[in-house]
Amino acid sequence: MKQGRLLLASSVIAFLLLSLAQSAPQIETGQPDESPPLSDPATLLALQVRYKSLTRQLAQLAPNRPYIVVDTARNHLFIKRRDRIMLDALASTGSGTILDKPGEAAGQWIFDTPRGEFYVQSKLVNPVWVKPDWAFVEEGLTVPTSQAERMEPGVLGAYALGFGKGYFIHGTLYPRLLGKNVTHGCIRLNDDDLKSVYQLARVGTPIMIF
Amino acid sequence: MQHLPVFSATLCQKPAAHTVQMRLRHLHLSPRLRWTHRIACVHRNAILFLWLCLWVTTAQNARAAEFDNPLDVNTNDAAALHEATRVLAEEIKLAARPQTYLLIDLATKTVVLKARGVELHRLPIIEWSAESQDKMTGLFRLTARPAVVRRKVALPGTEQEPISLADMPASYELLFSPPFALTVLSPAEQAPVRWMLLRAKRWWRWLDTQVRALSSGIDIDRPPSVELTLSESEAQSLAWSLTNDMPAIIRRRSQQ
Repeated sequence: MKQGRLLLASSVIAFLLLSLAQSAPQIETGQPDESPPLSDPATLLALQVRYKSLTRQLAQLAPNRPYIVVDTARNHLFIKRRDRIMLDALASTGSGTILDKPGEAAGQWIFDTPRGEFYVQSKLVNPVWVKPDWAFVEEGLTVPTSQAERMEPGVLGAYALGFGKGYFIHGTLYPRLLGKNVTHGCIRLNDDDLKSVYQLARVGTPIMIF
Repeated sequence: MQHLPVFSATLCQKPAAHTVQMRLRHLHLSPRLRWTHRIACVHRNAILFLWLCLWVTTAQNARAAEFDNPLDVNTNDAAALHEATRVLAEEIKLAARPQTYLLIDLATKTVVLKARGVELHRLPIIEWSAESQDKMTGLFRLTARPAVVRRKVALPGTEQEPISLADMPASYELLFSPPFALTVLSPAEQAPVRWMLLRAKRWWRWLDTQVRALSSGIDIDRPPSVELTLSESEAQSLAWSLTNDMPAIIRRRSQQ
């Protein structure tokens, strides 16, 4: 009786294993294989023409003027024209830290540099920093009611390039922190690089941040 | 003929074309001279037009040369070309909008982060495996980027260690919509526990599908999935660069 049960159980297990083995996923791997020989020259020609045409269409979408690329992981800002690097500058980008909003149970500021594609929207000379609420909260101060108390000239460097939602490429008082993720989302550069960026970029220059 | 020196002198001073025409009209030039002038104008405009055409063609060729073979495809391989044209057609849709997107290229073993058709960052794949490659067509959108442990801003006057790539996970699973799972692993020796957990999770999911298929008698449709092995720093770099809703396209290894 016991042997019969064991036999039955082992047959069920064997059946299950066999079924699983038969329906095992077709896993393809990255090992190279040989391409089959081409049979239809007309198809190949049509595909070649289409590939060229699509390649041309893709090329048309690339910026034809200088554009800015920001690598937030390695803290570098590049100005490129097509594939040529015109400027490689050490930068500081968002720290990724969070700060609780006072009086709001679930409210938080997240200090990330936004990622995606943006455009230079404004170019400023001798910009004045209008301190946002978080700057006061972070320092343990009360948020002022008057606008005049928020003005802080001289901390953003000689130039600033705005790319929307209060984010700027600007200078820094702490050049030793360049190359680190320490900002509240803006992109900081040293004075010389900032000047070059200001000169090379115009309103409408694409900024690609990743 | 007495007006000829006036005409020549005027041309030497390079006045505007309309000024010359007005003066000629005023001076009542002979029809022959007028024709000479007209031919000169046409000649000059033709040269300008040709120069412009040459400049536009050169500029376009220079741009096209950069994108000569963006997917590094063997143009004599029909299957590879077929797949490459499908991917390019999808990419054009993405590159037309201001956004960053991923190209997971299984044929050249690279993951490329792009925007506007321009390559921003390239990550080499050490090895890969895939299930249901036939379903990996079209665009996939990332439902959520890998979770990041964020630090709270330190109290004023205290030093805080800045966030870095090292804070990013090196092995993780990304889910896309429509259903597609991308498992990113670092070599086992770099993150053994995480590597084992993700492998176990993947096999458990597969086993679960099989058992359900057996019990119900219906062949359950498995969503496509890819498993990539990247170096630890590249896996962390990819996790860093991802954004919610980021689109991705997959170039499959071509097979006829």
